Amino acid sequence: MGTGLPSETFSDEALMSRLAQGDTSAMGALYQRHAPLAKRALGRMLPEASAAELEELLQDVFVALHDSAPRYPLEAGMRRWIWGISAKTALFWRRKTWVRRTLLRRHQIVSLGMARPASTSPELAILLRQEIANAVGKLPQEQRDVLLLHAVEGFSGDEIAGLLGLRHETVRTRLFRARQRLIDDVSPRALSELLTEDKR
Amino acid sequence: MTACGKWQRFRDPFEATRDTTLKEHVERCDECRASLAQWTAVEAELGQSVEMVDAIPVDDALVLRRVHERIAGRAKRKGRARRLVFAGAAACAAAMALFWAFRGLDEAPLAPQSGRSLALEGELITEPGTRTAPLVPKVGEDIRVPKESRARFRIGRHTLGVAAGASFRVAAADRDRVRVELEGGALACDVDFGQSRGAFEVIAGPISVRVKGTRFLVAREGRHVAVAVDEGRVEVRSAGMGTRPVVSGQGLVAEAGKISAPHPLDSASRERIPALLRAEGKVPTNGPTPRPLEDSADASASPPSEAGGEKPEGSHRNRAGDVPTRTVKNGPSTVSASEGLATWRGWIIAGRLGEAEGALVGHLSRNPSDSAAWALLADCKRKAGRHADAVEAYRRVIALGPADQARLARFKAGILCQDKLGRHAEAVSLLGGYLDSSGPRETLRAEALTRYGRSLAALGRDGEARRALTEVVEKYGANPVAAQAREILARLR
Repeated sequence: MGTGLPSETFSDEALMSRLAQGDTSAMGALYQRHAPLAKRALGRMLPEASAAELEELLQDVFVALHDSAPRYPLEAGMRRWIWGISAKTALFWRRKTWVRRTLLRRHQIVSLGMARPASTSPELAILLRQEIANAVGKLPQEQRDVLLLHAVEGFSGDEIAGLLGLRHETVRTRLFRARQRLIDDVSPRALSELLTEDKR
Repeated sequence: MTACGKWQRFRDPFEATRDTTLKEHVERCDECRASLAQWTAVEAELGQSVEMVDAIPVDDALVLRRVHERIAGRAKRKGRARRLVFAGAAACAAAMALFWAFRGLDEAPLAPQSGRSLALEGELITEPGTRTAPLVPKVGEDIRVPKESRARFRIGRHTLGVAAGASFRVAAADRDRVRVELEGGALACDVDFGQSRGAFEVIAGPISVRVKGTRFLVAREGRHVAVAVDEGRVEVRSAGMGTRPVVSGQGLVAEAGKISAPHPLDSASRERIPALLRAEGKVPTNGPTPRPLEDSADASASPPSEAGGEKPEGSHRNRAGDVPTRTVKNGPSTVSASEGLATWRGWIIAGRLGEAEGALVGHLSRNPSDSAAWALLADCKRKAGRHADAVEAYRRVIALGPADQARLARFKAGILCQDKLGRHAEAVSLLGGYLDSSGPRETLRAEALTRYGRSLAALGRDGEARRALTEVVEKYGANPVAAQAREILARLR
């Protein structure tokens, strides 16, 4: 099993079309191209999942991608399609593991601020980003999903509503609350440092 | 939490409801200004904060190998299950053959003659929930369903739902091929793709509809055929021409030598397909209608594109549903643009919104500057309840002109923004544009001015609202809208 078709040769639509016709060699190119996005989506939606679980979920996403190839609408855009499959996979995992995570108390939220900062960043920026990352980690899951999709991934409100199967008002409310909580949770000192930095 | 949250509306995630007129408020309000500055600073760092945990350690080669293994494993299990089912079916079939042989009946046994043939069985359904005696078709036999009933047939694991009065024949039914010939009426097909190695095909005169996996309906009236797909995709081929793919949610009409471009199905047409396939329940009477292709201005005498194949010379896209753009060489277009517009307007009035939209989209893909067609498309979307899309289409008209069409488009879009979308800032802009371009005797001016005032009031621009509404009361006192204007004025005081 090699890398399949050279990714620069075929478009996403062509690869999905081949997958729909049973040509699984297209999966290699699709994985190379879109696995980083799927990893990012799963990692952000499920910070409580372990690395092994995320690997399993990544497999689930691409098996689901294979299954969905016959009905892949050409105008969908692969980014949205992958995000949609990842969101559904994450939701299914959360529901399936609710008992284990909640009743057995094995669920531990891994704050987004736990990672090692980039070594080239100035110390102040690292501390501020960690503080923001911690604040994001404390947000309720549903608010965090909407916030990350909009403020980081750049999806519009309509796209988020479609991806997560929410009403517009729900998306708006969750985003507004997430923003306000973030502002309230990031310490005044950190905020003033940020604002002072901006003005320099 | 700050008392004033209007800065959030200023940065609304939905463009449709983003209120840019709040900019003035945000600049004046200390709380909003501070919150917005704080949020902007946090947002700028947010991406990098989150990226700090993006480096999830994953063995990509292992994941990819496991994905392939899982897909292959499922295919093997499906094949094993299929072999078990066939073995069981063959055993049952042999038992039934012995049973019928002992009974000495003249009818052909229901069991397949050989291991390759698929079992045929069926039933008539007279009313919702009422099933009459079974109907046992034979390969090659002409079957006509009575007008008071509909029928449901099984060909192996495939299901055919046949509408009342339809007539058809099962020309082939084995593991390599299933072929159904439709003489008249409509039948819906639910194809089990694991059942047959080969094609599942419905022939309607010169038109062939071959399954590339799933649920679709074919309706025929004489030489005119309509195809609608509920799930999956099919290929439609006209004798002597190439194939046109039709995907889920699309339909088209065809006759010998001509196939229309696929168009979006309206919900009634689409619902008819699963309803015909159900064993019980009522079936909607309206649905995809076979009709002459002269009614559709997107009829093409050129062969449609091959799905996934070489691009026809001169055409600029090769995706399902796209209309080939090369010049029709075998003669003039069957319908002029003005005749098409009149026809499509009639469809919109008659409620055939899906067909009208499909035809308009096809026409506009070839004639993107046709302002009248954009206006019609906007009206179609407005009637279908897709108000935001309708406003976008009206904006095209405004951009393309001419002046009178643009003026009317501003008015209609302004009303939609106000009544249906709650986008008052946009309504003010559109209605203001209408008022600027219309004279004092313009028929709709009073209404436009009243609505203009209403949106201004909704935005908190009370002074401007009062001026507009007062003008309505003073100049158009006898007009019914003046009463509305008075009402709004009274609320403002």
